Amino acid sequence: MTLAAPLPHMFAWSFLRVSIVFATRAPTLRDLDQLLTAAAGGDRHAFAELYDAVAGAVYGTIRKVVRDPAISEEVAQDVLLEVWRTAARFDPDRGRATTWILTMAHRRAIDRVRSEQAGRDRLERVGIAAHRPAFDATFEAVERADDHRRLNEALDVMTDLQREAVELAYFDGLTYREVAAKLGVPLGTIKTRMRDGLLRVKETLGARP
Amino acid sequence: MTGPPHDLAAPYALDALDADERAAFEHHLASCAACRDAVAAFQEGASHLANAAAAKPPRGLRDRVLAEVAATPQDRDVIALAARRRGPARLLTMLAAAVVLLAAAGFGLAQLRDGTTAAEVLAAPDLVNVELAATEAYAAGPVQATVSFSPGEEAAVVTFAGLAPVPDDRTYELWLIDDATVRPAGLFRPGGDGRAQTLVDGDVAPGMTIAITEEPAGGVDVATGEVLFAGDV
Repeated sequence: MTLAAPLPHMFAWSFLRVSIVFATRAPTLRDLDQLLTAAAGGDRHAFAELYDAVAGAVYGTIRKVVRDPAISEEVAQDVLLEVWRTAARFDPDRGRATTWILTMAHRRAIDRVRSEQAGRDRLERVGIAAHRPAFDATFEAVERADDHRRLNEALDVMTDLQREAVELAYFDGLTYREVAAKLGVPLGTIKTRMRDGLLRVKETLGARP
Repeated sequence: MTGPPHDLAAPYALDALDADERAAFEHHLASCAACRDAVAAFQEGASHLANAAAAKPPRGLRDRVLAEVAATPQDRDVIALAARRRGPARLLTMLAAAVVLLAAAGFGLAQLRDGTTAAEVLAAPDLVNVELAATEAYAAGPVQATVSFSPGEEAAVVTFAGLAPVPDDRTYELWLIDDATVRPAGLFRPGGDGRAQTLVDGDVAPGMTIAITEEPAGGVDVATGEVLFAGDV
């Protein structure tokens, strides 16, 4: 584990394998852009290296939204294969590879949750969503404590109200209309909290090394 | 920018729009650069949260994914690749420019349409037939897709057998791509027998790529569908 120690905490575990094989530093965000571009040209080694860098975030995000481990794994596998299949569509001028990949992963997770909820009464769905196990139930039991702490630190850069709106949407899978209904707050207020919260996360966490 | 629909950029980046609102907002995005920039910024913010949610993936996932990768051909997204070949210019900028070029070339195209028919191209003495390859995105059964290209006529005809039907509100759209531009090159729908034949709308030169996507009826200036068929003449 000493190899992983100097690496950024966020990716430490996932870079361990790369570090052993290549005895080198962790890929930077720009390196990941280059890896994805190389993968788009059919470079499977580049894709494997990219996998080691992003699979943890892909799986963790999906798991947070979908909750069920088996379904999460299935969705993660689909997303990672889609990254390979559609890599040519990534344009480094329009954003980072990590953003491109994690946007895809999150949307797939949300779509999976929504498709399973389709057919239920929408109001009932809000109620059910509100009663899904919170972080601290079964999921928490198997979740590593430092994973939890790291996510909490990231969410805590927002105000409580921003965090509540962003978390209900991004991790609990509610639409902004459902968030507004659940909290009894006007739609415009919810949209503002989401916007300000995301900007604060971007400015605060984007500035960190 | 504020007020609807611009204020949906953050909910969109959180995937917090229902299917109808998402589709409507994506339609809006195609024509609103400010919202595209806003979405990019919000998605970057959301990706920090996704990163912070990282968890150790299940044992075996890596091997399964890499095994599938070894067996899975990649989409040949010629529209994106053609844009990349051109350099750092953004695809959207390029497609916007392509529309202007198309408008400027409209007179010439109309003349070509008047002057050349599919039958004349197919009767040209220098005719070259090239198979168009179906991509992963084309999920329907076996299909034969051929481009018949006449360098002398600077014209091409695409012919399909066994092509999947499209709903009434959709159409197939042809794209003509060279190193500098991506141009819409005509719309077509297969007959009930899965056959289709259509003249490529534009001057076709050796080395150009012909691609086909599925789009809303009436066609689009900027491709929204995945590339279903592609080939170089």
